[in-house]
This record gives sequence, C-alpha cells and structure tokens, in this order.
Amino acid sequence: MIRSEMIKILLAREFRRLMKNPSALMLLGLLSAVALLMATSRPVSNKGDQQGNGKAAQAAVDVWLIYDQRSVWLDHLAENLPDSPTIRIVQRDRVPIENGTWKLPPQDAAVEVVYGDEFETRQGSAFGKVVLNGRYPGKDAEVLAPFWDWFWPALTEYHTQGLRFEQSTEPLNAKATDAPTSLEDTSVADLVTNELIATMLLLIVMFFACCHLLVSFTAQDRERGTLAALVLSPANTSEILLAKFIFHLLISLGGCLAIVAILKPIVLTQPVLWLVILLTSVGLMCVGTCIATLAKTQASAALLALCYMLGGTVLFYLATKFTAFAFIKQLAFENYTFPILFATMNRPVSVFHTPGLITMLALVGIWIGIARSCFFRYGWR
Amino acid sequence: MSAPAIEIDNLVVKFGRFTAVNGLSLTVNEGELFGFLGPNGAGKTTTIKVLIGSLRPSEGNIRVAGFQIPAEFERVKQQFGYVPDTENHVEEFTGRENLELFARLYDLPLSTVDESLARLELSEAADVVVSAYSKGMRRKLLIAREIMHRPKILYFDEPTANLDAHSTELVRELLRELASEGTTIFLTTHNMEEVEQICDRVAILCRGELVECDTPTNFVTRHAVRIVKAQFEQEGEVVRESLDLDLDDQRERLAEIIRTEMCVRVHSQEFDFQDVFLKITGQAYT
Repeated sequence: MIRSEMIKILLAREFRRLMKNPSALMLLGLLSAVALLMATSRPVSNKGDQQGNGKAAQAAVDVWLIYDQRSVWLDHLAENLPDSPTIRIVQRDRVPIENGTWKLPPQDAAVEVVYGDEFETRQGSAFGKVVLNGRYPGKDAEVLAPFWDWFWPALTEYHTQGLRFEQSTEPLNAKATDAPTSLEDTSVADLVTNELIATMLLLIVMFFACCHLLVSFTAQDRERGTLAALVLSPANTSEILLAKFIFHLLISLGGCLAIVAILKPIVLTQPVLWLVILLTSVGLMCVGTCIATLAKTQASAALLALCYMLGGTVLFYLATKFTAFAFIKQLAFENYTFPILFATMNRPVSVFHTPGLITMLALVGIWIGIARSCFFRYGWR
Repeated sequence: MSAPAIEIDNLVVKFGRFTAVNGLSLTVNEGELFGFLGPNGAGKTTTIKVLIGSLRPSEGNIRVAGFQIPAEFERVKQQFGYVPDTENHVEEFTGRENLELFARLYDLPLSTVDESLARLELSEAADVVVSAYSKGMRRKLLIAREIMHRPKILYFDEPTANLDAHSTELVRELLRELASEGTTIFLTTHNMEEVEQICDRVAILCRGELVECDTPTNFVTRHAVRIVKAQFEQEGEVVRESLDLDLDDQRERLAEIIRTEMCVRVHSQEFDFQDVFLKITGQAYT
C-alpha cells in the first residue's frame, strides 16, 4: 500500500538534501544557462559575412532528389517535406533527359542518391554507404544550403538503419569554376541547429537528473546506511523507491521544461514530447536504480553510471556499423528517444513514430520490473 | 513470567559454505535487558541482522513481538528500534532535522524531537549539521532517534562505543530506565563491565553456537573461583603464591603460611567476567 503522506515526507527529505548539495544545483543552472545562450544567439558562419548567417541570404531553389531504388528512409523524408525549399523526390528514369544530361528548369538543383558498392539489405535493415551528390545551378554551392539544413536533421530523426551517409556537391554545369565541396568543408555551425542543441540538452538533463543524480544519492544513502534506517521506519520500500522516482522525475521534467521553454516554446504543447521525456526519464531512473543497488560504494556507482553513458554510445556506434551488434538498438529504449524528440522539435510528430513509442513503452516496462526487483532484493541490505 | 519479546528457534545462517550462525535457540522476555556476547565473528551482528529483517535466515523460526520474521517484516518494524554500530545520519542535515524526519515518518509530535535531544544532552548541538558532530555526539543522536518512537524492542550494537565516561553512564542509565518502563533491550557489546552492570541475562555465542545463557549472578556463582593470593617474606625475599581453597593440601599450605610466615598481603581473587568469557569461548591465554 502506498501512502501519500509518506511520499510527501520522503520527497521533502530529497528536496532538502538537493538544496544542501550545491554541485547538483550548479550543473542544473549551467544547463539552463547554455539553453538561454543558445536561444539568444545566432550560429557563427565560417563565411564571415556581415549578416552573421550566410544561409539566410540564400534564395531557396527547388531541389530534385533523384534516386534509383526507393527506400524506407526516403519514404520518411517524403512524409516530412519542408514548406521551403520545394523538394521533388523522383526516380531517375522519370527525370527529363536531353542529349544524355538532365534537363531541369534553369534555377533548379538536384541531389542524386548513389548507393555504395557494399550496400546491402539484411533482415529488413539496410547497411552500407550512401553518397548524396548535390548538383547546383551556377557557381555557388550555397544555393543547396536550405536543402541540407532540412535534409540532415530530418535524416537524423530516422537513424535506426545501419547506413552511412556522405555529402558531396558539384555544379550541374561542368564548366562552372567553383571547386566541389564535401561535408568536411561545411561549417559545424551550418549543421548544428537550435533543435539539435535542444534535443541534446534534453538528453543531458534527463541523464543527469534521472541517472547520475539518482545513482549518486541512492548509492550515498546505501553506503551511509540511511536507506536502511528509512526502510526500518514506517515507510515501506515501495514508498521509498516511489518517492525517489517522483523526486528525480520532477527535476528532469523541470529541467526539460526550462530548456524547451527557452529554446523552442512552441513545442511545449506537444504531448508526444512529454511522453518521450517521461518514458526516457523513467527508463533512466530504472537503469540508475539497478546501478545504485548493485554497486558497493557511491564512487563505484558514479563510475558505473558514466560507463553506462560512454559504453552505450560505443555500442550504438557499433550497432550502426556492424550487423552483429544491430540487435542492441532494438533492445535499448534510448534508441527511440533521440529521433522522436528531434522530430517533435521540428514539427508535429507523425504516425511514423507510433511503433517506436510502443516499443519504448514495453522496454521501459521491463526496466521497471528489473529495477524494482533489484531494489527490493539488494537495495538497502 | 512475562511474554517473550524475541523467540529464536534453531536459527541457521549460511553464507555459501560458511555457517555464521548454527542452530541458535533463544528467548528474550518482555522488558528484559539482554546482553549478547561473543568474540569477533561469533555471529552476533548476523543474528541482529536477521532479527531486524535485513538478512534472510537459511533455516529457523524467528518471532519478534509476536510477528514472524521475515514474513511479517512490514508489521513488526514499527515495534523496534535499531542502533547499529555505525552511524547512519543524513550528514548534510542538522541533528534536529535528522530527528524531525523520523518524527514525521512515525507520525510523532515534533515536541518529541526536543525531548529526545534533551534526554541525550544534545539540545545545544541540535541545530548544528551532523557532519560537524563528534563520534560520541553522532552515537547519542542515533540513540535519540531510535528511542523517539518508544519502541517495544531496542536492538543495540555496541551501545557505548565512542562515548566518554559521562555519556557512557548517561546511556547506561537510559537503558535501565527504558527496561524498567517495559522496553526489551537486546544489546551486543564487548564491554564486560557493562554486561555485568546492566544486563538481566547474558548469552554467550561462539563460532555461531550458543555456549551459555544465564543471569550475570548465576555466571558469577557458577564460575566463581576460590583462590587466595598470598604474598609473604621468606628468608629475606618476597614470595607470591596462588592457592586453590578447593584442594586440601593448598588449604593446609595457606594455614601454614599464615601461622609460620610473615605475611605481607593475603586476598581472595574476585570474579572477573572477562576471564569467564575468555574461558568459555576458549580464548583465554594459557
């Protein structure tokens, strides 16, 4: 039986403890400050133009996205086309040809999708290299910038396939003198958007509040014996665990609210955003609870939490590169967080994400069971 | 005779192949001040951990305040207080804040916090953060916390460890007072003097097995020694002899010493709980 009075007392204890822990508060303040700075500044352009943002000066040209083989990621892009620039996704044999070359309207650009030699499809997933060959009219490759600004974030939302994308550009007219540019020549500021930063900040806040802080506080409680003292008091184990979850969830939601309100207030009303934040936070708290209960000391627990974050990143990288690791992505709820959060930052989320949300819900449910079992069995003993 | 507060029947606790407690059976009555003694590794703390529900027994039947342990742990835990051998306060909180937290959890009026602090002479340090407390103050705060809700049973692991002479006496007086009010006190200690002074009954545990369980008086009677130590001068030298009065020839030797020699000192050897403990547990130096 869960008693609300007990939860209130335990919550008050956690909040009072946080207030007396300046380092945790400082980190939360720092993340909010980063968000505030992001919201009040513009990306730095490496072109050094007077307007501060070279891309803003470019007139949007219509772009033909030309492919040989229709893929799921192209379907995803087709469902999420921007208002500007106008993008047509067409199969290669439907592009008008004259004298062996494409006959596009004079101001239109093209982006050709070329699959690498090692490209293959296994078990419903695609693996290998995909080159996006941008062809621009005239001499200025920057006319494609609005397209790339839409393309990369939209593609990032859809990152579950084991594909490696590369970008290159060249003029449509072979006599044009501008040298081809590659992704390496593109400014980071051109690729990083406020939506991407907001998503990353949300992930950091959730990890910090729900995993790192929970691990630190719970392991400290366990090491000092204060957790045992609480369990021996009238508060039962479920109430103690629930109070901890509510406390860290409130910090996570509060931090996320602050960041979204500063960087992208328009998406505050999107229920999917909060659903994903809720599921991810709960999932991370479960992982944190397992770490805190299985580690012997606070120091080892904090180290394990860090290993979880770094190890997770490496495993995700391996999962996108090698088929043997691909299953990891299917088993990790974190896999679904980034694309859905990023999508909600850009536009109302489509039906495309529903399977992801359901899978995430199931995985978080499993984690709740594991964390509860760990805490009840080893949590205070 | 009062009802048993703690009943332990054939308790066995194993950690892998190692048996920490082996077939322990014990009954502690309500309002009794019970001392639980044993050398290091005898199984005292393991037994207490089983009694508070922190460790599952491998075998055995345990009832505390009429409730089965560990099955009825949630029901029984409000009936007891546990003072562990290490402090477990929230270091960032003041002494008062620590006690207030538990007063709220036990649904007690906040005035009990001040009462408990005053009882352990901590009123002046009540608003100081625990991290600034000395070891003795932390210990007293722990005791103040655990007596606040007036538990029926109090488990003490080394109750007077790290306490100065005054605080030791204060805590012993408190224990006697609580026992007279009906609280059952189950304490483990290495302080033999303490056991002799305050315990109603004592159990001695060695290598996980119960060796003896009796009142300190009975221990004294059973293990009393009739030894007389005589110190006298003989041919200009000081000689010391220890004489067992249960042996005829040694009794005669004592009479002879007193009659013929010039005695410097003759005194009987006092009962020493420490010696008895070492003898019983097989740890006496020979």
